[in-house]
Amino acid sequence: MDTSQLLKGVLDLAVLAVLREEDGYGYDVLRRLRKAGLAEVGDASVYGTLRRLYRAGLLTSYVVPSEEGPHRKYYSLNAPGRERLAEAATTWRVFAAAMNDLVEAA
Amino acid sequence: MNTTVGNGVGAYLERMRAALSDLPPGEVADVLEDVAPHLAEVAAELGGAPTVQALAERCGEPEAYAAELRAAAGYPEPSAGATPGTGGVIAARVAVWSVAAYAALFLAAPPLLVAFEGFYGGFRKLLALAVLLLAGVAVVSTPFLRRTSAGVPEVKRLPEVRWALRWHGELRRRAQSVTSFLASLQPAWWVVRAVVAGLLASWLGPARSHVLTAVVVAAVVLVPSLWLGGRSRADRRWLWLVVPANALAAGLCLTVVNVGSLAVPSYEIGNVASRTGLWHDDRHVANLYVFDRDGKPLTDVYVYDQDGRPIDLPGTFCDATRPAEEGNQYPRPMADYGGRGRCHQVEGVPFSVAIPKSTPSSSAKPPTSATPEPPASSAPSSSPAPTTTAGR
Repeated sequence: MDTSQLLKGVLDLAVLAVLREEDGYGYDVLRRLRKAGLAEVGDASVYGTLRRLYRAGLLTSYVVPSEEGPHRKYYSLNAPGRERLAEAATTWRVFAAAMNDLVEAA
Repeated sequence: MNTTVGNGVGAYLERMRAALSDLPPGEVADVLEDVAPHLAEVAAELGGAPTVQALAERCGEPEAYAAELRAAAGYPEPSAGATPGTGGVIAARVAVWSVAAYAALFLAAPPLLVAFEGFYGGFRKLLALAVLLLAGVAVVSTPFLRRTSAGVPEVKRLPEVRWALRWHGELRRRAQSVTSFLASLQPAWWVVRAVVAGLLASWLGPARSHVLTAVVVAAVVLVPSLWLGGRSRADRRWLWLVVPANALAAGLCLTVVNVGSLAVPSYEIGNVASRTGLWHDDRHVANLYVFDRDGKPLTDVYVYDQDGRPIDLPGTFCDATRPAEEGNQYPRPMADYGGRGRCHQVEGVPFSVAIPKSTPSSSAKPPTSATPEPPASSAPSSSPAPTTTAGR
């Protein structure tokens, strides 16, 4: 089964989840997702998702200069972002449980 | 921001910027800020300063990368099939400058018109004209709303636009707190311009139910105004329409503030107060010349109004030591400063007239009975006064 198709629906949740504990810049977020096991996640998709969540008012951003290379724009969850994360997590758990039941029964 | 990254990275980012150039520059800058550290990491893995080709092998072509990012971010799609460059520099330049000119015109027209014509008369006419022009802008800008990827990158390449964008970016960097505060006020402005549209409609609309018209139109305009405001933040195509419309709304705002501070009564006061002296058909009358039925100029005629009050006008003299004196004996003495600073006293009638021959005899007799009528002495001999029907 094509994981990238599955990812499309849950990338918002995944990005919000990796930002829950700690703020991160774009490449950072990508690395955490891959480290968590989402190896197929596309970098452009992650950066696009970050921008969409930011424009939806779920993230705030701030810039940190870096000695080597370009400066880094960190994203952090704000209150609406945490709310959205909680909602999405609930939806996901219900969905995943239903899917698990289906798959176990098969 | 690209000073420490290799040339390949810079070129890759530039191609991405071009692929996203239909988006607002601020949004594109934010996107590239996310991508730049990623490319820097990839570049470091590739050994420092990779070429664009090397980066493209790892990350995909910049255009494909931009397209994937665009889809994930939910930006509007650029219309397919249009190729950059076909729009032509001239078309782009005409479009940019006409939008700028419209914006300037719309900003300046309402206050200027009110200032010069007084409101009502000129104001209504002008506003109707502005609405027509706005409709014209909407028509002209329609192709650019649809034909994005052809027209917009072309516009972006114009030197004057690049200069303006750089200046804007610089300003934004320097006064971050001010600009972000202003940006936070944007939704309020979207409401204000809807209210302005309502006021405009009530001025142009039927004389009755001004308030109702204003409220209804403002409510109706509010929805597209908010929608367009949110939309134009992420989709630069709408600027073709938004910039002139905003300029018109701002111009009207200035006018409304101005008019509001004057209030209506001062309109009458101002107009009445300025009307000293003698006026006819909105033109100031400095002297009167009277002719008899044969077209012969009369001198030393005394003029009164319908209540028997003398119609006094000052006479003017070249002799500066002589004070101007008022009187109702016409023609009044008149000094003419026309010729290169030299003054000469006007003698006789400085123009020619043709008295209609076929006047009924009843109108021949002047009806003023209260006037002392000294006999008309002969006109000064030097006068070139024409008689009867001569001179036309």
